[in-house]
Amino acid sequence: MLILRYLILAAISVILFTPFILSFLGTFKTNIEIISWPPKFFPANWLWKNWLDTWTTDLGRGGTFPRWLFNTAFLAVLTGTLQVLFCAMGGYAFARLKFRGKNIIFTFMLSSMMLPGIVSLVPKYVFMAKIHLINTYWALILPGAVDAFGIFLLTQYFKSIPGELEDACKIDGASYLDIFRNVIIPLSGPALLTLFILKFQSMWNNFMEALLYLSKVSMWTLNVALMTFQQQYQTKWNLTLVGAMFNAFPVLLLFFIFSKYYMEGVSYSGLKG
Amino acid sequence: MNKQASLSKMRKVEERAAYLFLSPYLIMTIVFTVGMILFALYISLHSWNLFQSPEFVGLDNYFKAFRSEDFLRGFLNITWYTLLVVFFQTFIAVFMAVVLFKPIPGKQFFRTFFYAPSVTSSVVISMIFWWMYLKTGYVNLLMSKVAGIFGGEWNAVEWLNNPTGLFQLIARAFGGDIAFAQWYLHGPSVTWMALMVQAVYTTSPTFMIMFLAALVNIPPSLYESASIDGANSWKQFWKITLPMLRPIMLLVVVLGTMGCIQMFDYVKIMTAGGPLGTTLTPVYQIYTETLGINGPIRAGYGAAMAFILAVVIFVFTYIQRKFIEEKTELY
Amino acid sequence: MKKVATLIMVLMVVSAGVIFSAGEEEAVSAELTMAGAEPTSYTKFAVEVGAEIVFSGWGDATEQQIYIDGIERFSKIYPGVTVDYQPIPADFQTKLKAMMAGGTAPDVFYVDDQLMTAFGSTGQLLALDSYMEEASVTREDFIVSLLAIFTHDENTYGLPKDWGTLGLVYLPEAFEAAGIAEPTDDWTWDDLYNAAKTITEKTDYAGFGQNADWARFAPWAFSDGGSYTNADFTKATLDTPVINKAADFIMKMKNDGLLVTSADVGAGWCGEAIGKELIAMTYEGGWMVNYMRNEFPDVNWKAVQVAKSNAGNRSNVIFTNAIGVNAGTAYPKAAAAFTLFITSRENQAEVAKTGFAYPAHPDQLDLIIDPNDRAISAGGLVGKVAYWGPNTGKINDQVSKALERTYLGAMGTEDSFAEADKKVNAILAGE
Repeated sequence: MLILRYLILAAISVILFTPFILSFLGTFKTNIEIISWPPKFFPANWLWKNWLDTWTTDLGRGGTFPRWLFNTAFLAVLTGTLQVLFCAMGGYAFARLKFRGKNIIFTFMLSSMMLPGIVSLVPKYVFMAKIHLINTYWALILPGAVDAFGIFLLTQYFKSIPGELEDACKIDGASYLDIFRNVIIPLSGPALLTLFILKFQSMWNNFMEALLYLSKVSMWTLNVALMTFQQQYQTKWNLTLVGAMFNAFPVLLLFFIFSKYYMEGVSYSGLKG
Repeated sequence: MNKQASLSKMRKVEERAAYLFLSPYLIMTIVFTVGMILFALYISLHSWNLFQSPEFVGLDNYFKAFRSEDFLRGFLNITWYTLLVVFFQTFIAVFMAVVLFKPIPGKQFFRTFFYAPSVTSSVVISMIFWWMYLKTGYVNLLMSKVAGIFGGEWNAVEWLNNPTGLFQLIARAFGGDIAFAQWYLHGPSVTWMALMVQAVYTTSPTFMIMFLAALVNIPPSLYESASIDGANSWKQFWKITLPMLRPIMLLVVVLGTMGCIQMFDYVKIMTAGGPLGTTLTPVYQIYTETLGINGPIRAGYGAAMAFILAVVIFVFTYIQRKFIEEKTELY
Repeated sequence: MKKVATLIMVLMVVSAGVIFSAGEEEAVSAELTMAGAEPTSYTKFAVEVGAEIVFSGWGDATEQQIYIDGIERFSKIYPGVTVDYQPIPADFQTKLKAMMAGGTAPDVFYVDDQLMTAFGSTGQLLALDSYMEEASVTREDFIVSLLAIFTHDENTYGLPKDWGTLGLVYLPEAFEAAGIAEPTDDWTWDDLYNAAKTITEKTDYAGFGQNADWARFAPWAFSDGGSYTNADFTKATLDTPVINKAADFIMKMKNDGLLVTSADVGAGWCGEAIGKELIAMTYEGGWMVNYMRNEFPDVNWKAVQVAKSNAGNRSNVIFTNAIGVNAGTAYPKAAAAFTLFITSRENQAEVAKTGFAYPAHPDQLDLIIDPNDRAISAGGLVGKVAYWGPNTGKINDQVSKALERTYLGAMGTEDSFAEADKKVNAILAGE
């Protein structure tokens, strides 16, 4: 039985992990090897140079790879953290508290996700220019600190937490802040983690906003900078793939480290301890 | 009397707490979102090129959208897409989460492998699927092998350049056909379905982790008492796991629907709406019109199409909430 | 866990301090003086003192280096002007439109047909004519057909920085294998057809590669005087005998198995199919030179001019981009001076040395060094820019769609182009 399950897991893993492996191996290939058909699995020569070339990219005026990496990491960690905090607060209000206008605000929040973002791309830029946020990281951080997606996500999770514990706390006279801090947050570790990973990932891979709001080469994020490897007739696939590794690897590592927290009953035992 | 007064005081405290908890979102949304939505609504009634002052045109932009064959076509395409992709991605995500949730040594590695597609960049995914879908690619290779086993033959298909619709294929299998001009009866094209597979492949892992995080909250005691009652794991899944996942199911279906209806990145990278407009989506048109990608900028027209789309998503979402959420509670 | 979290928070606060220290540029009063006197043939004029201009374009590291060098040459002539180069690596047009709407657009930037459509008629670009006069530059200094896109109401809103066109690119080895003579500049469509036929029959190479693409179709369509719209861009001219003849010829090649698409042979585009030695011939442009040198240095390829029609006429399609000035710039003179310098003979001669682009001055074509580039560019001057007014993108797109329908066998050429004609007319009517 165990063997059967291993076989199923391994089969799915092969299907899902192969593109990642292929692109990882692609980082050591020449451009020709990558686009040749039929593709070969391993590179003929392992070109470590591709990694070095990417790492030492320097467009002048402070535009270096380590700097871009730092910018991106800074933004991803910061917005991920702020999202978890603010969305948990909002989610708690929607999931557990009664207040006037709740239904209207919640419906508005859902509706705000339905208008394709592309429509407000230019008006939003104009607004950011008016309040002098162009070429500052605030233009990415402020709108990224809390959003409808995150609140909706956590609202749904908080609803799935059984309410008995809170009722007990309420009888003991705990304030809403106490309940939020001591019951809701400890009970929803995996949900908060999920939001953090998703938001970390979306900021790490953010392209359009970063491209629009940040003009200085030294302020670029990874994804914007990586586009210099892709020109119409001259795509440097190998360097693009190295870049894609820098895109994917931190998120995957983060997920690997934290995935052990997605465990049966972990939240309940955490509360007791 | 006294009791009622204290009750209403308690409600006041609760209400104040709620607004305090919501304040970061409310401030940000008032600053960045409310204005944008109202502005887009205003613009949808105008002709606007981004630089000169808007010119009022009433509902013209809306009428124009309903008259546009491309827009209707995009709508039909995206409806097929949403129905099929949301169903499969949700189903697969639940399956993967449940398979991965049970304790097994090395689980952490499997989870990471499973999650990989959603962190692999869309450019790389597109490139790999392009290989798969080539006329000489792996999919055709596999199909010809499978056909060979059954003694048949497989005619290589150009997956990314095949406008033949699903219903056309079915009609042809029975010796009939559907005329070229009746595009609305063709069903999703082969290319469109190929892109659906690609989308399901990349989004399922994201929804998988949402389900994983929800499975954690199901108290193990429920399963314990169920197995004492002699329920097998299949029954436990239907009687315990699924009902407990209900709020997250709604989350996944609603987010999936919104994501699907607004999909356009693979269209932009891989097909640009072709072949023969069978992968055109409304948001791809909104993008080209609003930003004047291949013609004059018509931001008002783009905004009008966006509002029509938003209303459709709203209706979809409303229906989903009615169906998935038990009881009368609206959210 | 808590310690780690604290550490992360501290790091974030510290790094925030580093990051948010970016300052705002301050405005400088616009006095005029003559810039420092360096000996050059280039005619200078007075610009604002202490002018600081921002310049943006797209391009990879090679292209960026060319402009960094150009800025250095410029600063020798105008030492008082500071140029801040801010390349935009992707979605250039989208970003420029947003910046223009927000009032933060660069002073000088690349202008293509899409940006000309958005900015030209809405007053966002500075007319350069008076500055050209001051610098003794005339429109005739440039290849005149290039200016078509950048002219609106008889004002010049952009000066071409370079141009490109298509040539008949081929693999000599395929011709050798088939035992036939290589293409020449005098080839007609029939010569091309016959060669493709022999090669397809006798060798493993596919004969001719061409996708359903308005640009690759243009040399065929334009040769005997065809066009996608009439001269004043008010009516489609796709349902005409000339266009139908060109499309029929292409479809004959396709139906006879002599014409393949890049996807048919497993390549991303036809240039890649040449590099992978899959097809014998295709129509590609000057970008092939660096592409082949970088990606397929061992593959021998050559180019001649595109084939003449069977009636003996040749035409071609011309691609071009310009440099233009933001109408809202604080330093119009310095910005114009920079634009005039970057597009000048002096600077384009330096760019030509790198083999990166064809100079936009008609008397400078002999500066093109690579033999294949010379062959391709020689066939370009007879061509025209596929520009049909503000709806250019949509109209060209309809041509590609008409070709797609015929390629897929959904419609015959005549029906398909008649449909495109109808759709283009609807677009021109503003639907």
